[in-house]
Amino acid sequence: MIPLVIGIAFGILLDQGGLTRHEKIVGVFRLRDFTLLKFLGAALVVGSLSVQAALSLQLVSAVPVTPTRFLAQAIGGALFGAAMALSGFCPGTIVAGAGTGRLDALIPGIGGLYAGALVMRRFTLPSGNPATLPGSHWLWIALLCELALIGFYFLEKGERQ
Amino acid sequence: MQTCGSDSAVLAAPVCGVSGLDLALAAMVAAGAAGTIWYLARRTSLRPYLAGGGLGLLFAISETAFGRTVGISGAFQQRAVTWPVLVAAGVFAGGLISSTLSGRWRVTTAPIGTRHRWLSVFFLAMVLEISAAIAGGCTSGLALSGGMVLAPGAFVFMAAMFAAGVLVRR
Repeated sequence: MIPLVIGIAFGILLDQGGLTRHEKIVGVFRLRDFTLLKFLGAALVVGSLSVQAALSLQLVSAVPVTPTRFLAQAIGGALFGAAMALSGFCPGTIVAGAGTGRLDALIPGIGGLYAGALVMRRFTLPSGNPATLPGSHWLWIALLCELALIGFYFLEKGERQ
Repeated sequence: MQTCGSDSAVLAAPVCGVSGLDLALAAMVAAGAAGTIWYLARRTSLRPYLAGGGLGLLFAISETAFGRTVGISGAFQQRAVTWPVLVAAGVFAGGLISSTLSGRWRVTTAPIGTRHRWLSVFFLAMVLEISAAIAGGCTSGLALSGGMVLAPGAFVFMAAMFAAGVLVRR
């Protein structure tokens, strides 16, 4: 039940943020419509502050950390970004978009994701290093937040022109 | 769980994991955030920021309360109905609920040239899943989930993603 509720909230927020429309995703790579950057930036700011607050207040002792593999993530990221810019979709918006009645997301979209997963079943990839940035996490988060805020200012300015 | 007492005790008690510097930084960030929200609210649509902020909070709750990162690409690699599969099912339902409530739900085939669009979406969705598997996550499971716990790889992934995306759309 809990994962279902988390997913439903995720889907609603993606759709209400406008990201189930592929124009919004394509727009960011064309440097015309920065909805995706605002959405991701706000999520990073609120998310990192919340997680770090929970850790600092010792509400939790640890959180899961996504492993780092620099080369794989640089190559994977580049491929992923190219496919995202050309299709106007990422895996999350394919699934949420299918829910909004888009047949291109439901049939070739989800079909393609399954096909890709089938291909990758043949390979075992090395697990990475679950490290985080060195030094004070609050200092990094402060930097991240200030950068995001400055970024938001210029994105809004850029969009109006 | 450990209780930390009053605010002044927290300031003086590094055992609670919060130092004076931490609090000062947090206050600085909060002031900056409040100022920016005020600035944006006067001039622009807050919708992407509010939806994004809500997503950040949702991911934080999932990571802290349930010890789970939220990722979609991983769900397609599962062979049974597990946590990530249920999350993905929920995302589908969320899209359905949200578009219905907004009066936007309708069956659409494709924006332009259905046949060409469907072929390219199939191929590109395959690339999305393969590249997410190589990197160890997608926009949600790596960029956002990793970024908010300060995993260095998440920032490498995001930089590569935006650079490549802008290049192919030039």
